[in-house]
Amino acid sequence: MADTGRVIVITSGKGGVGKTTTTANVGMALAQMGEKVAMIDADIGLRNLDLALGLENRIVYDMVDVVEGRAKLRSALIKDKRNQNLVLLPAAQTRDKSAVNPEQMKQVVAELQEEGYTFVLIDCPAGIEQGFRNATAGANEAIVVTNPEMSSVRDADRIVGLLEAQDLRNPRLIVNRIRPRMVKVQEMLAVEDVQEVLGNAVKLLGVVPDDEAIITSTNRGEPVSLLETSQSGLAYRNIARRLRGEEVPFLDLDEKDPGFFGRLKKLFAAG
Amino acid sequence: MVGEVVVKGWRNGLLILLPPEDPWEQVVDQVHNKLDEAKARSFWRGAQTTFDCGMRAVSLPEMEALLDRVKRGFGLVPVAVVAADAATREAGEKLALVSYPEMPVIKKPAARDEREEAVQSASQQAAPQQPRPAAAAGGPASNALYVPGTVRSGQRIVHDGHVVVVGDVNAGAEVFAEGDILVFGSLRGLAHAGCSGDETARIVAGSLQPPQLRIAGKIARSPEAAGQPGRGASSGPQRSPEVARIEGGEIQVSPL
Repeated sequence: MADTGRVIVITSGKGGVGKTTTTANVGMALAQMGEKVAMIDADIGLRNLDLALGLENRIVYDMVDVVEGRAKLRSALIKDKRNQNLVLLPAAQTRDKSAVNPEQMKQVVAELQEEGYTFVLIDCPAGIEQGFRNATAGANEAIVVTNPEMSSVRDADRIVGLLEAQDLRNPRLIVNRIRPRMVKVQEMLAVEDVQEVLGNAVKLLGVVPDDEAIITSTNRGEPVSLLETSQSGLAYRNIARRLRGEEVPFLDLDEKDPGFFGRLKKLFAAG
Repeated sequence: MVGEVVVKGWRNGLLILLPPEDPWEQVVDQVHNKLDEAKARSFWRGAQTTFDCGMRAVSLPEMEALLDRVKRGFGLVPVAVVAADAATREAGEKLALVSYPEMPVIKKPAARDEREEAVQSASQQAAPQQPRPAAAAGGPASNALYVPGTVRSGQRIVHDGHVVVVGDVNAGAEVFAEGDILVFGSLRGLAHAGCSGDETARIVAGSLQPPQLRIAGKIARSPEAAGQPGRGASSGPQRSPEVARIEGGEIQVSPL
């Protein structure tokens, strides 16, 4: 296995916290920065990543076809329509997690690395069963996505423990769907609260604000990281930069609600 | 021909010397009575126990009956057997004990050290997944489990002595100890001290905020918190160390 490529699994334990959206956006942002990126949808039977990228109609072969020898890896990879640096290996929709085993996953990852992809992103299914074991098998880094709410944080904590058991130490944390206004009035966990539970071993990689643009962009198959105007898109681009080793300060999310005087000041600044 | 069972404490826990010739059932009863006299029900709970059979031959079912009695009746943790008879040693090994052909004479200091080392390494062999610190003087304290980091959701620690966690115990994690539980960080998960009935067991934490506390047979629920979300560093309750113990038949929490 080439030791140059980074293989990152994006996981959460709990479903619906934004693993697929994160994978799509971080992958797209990395590709825009010139990295060669391959994404693997490891959620076999519940295929989603293709939708987030708007590549659904291009699928001919999927990962199970590759693993079972019906297709070459290269012919199953779908090139992104916007960015040639980005490819997707889709999941099968008609099978289930038992169609692939961890050894086969490692094999696929090794082949992708030989093809020269500098980043392989694996979109992990929810849960801690076979799908999780498959998705983490080939990875050498992990990103844990969580929402600022207790159930999600508890599941993330569980996942961090399981990752440690698989020797994926020091995973990085993305706190997704934060609403600064709710945090301010203590109706939502703050990023610091999440970090306090997960401990120092888990370093913060990014904070993504709750953003309606995500819903429309996912439905359209256009990752928000392509949208210059969206704050969540900016957050994802910052995450991609941090993954490449850049020091990027965290967004000041309070800016979004500057209050009356803040708005007034902005008006003058603009004028 | 009536020999006598001798029960004594030593550096590695409890040592039980079995008489050579009495009928086995009487021996088992004697062990029971001796432990009862010694108030072993609470005091020796969780103690690592070594059986010295001397020249006596003990069969597998016989040994099983004895171990069962001391485990269930007194919460002892059998770790080793000393027997001259090879079949007896084999029976002990089948029951996950470490066996020795002879017990060096206690009067010779050099030999004593050797023996103690032997039994200590024996107890480590018996439970290799539980790192043990070098045993301090006697008692259950010599059987403490040191957990170097945070216990995360879904992880479960079960130990027959004290448990020391140098980190947090997170929500969804569980710690069961027959002795005390000490958490240097925050306790947010489930802790059950004295889980085999020791009402003197305590739970100490740098920040005590579990959903539920259990000591021996008692259960205490935390008061329903008003502000659910902000339970962390920024907005959490007081962060001073506290201790929970049974007082007046109920679990009471007080500052350490």
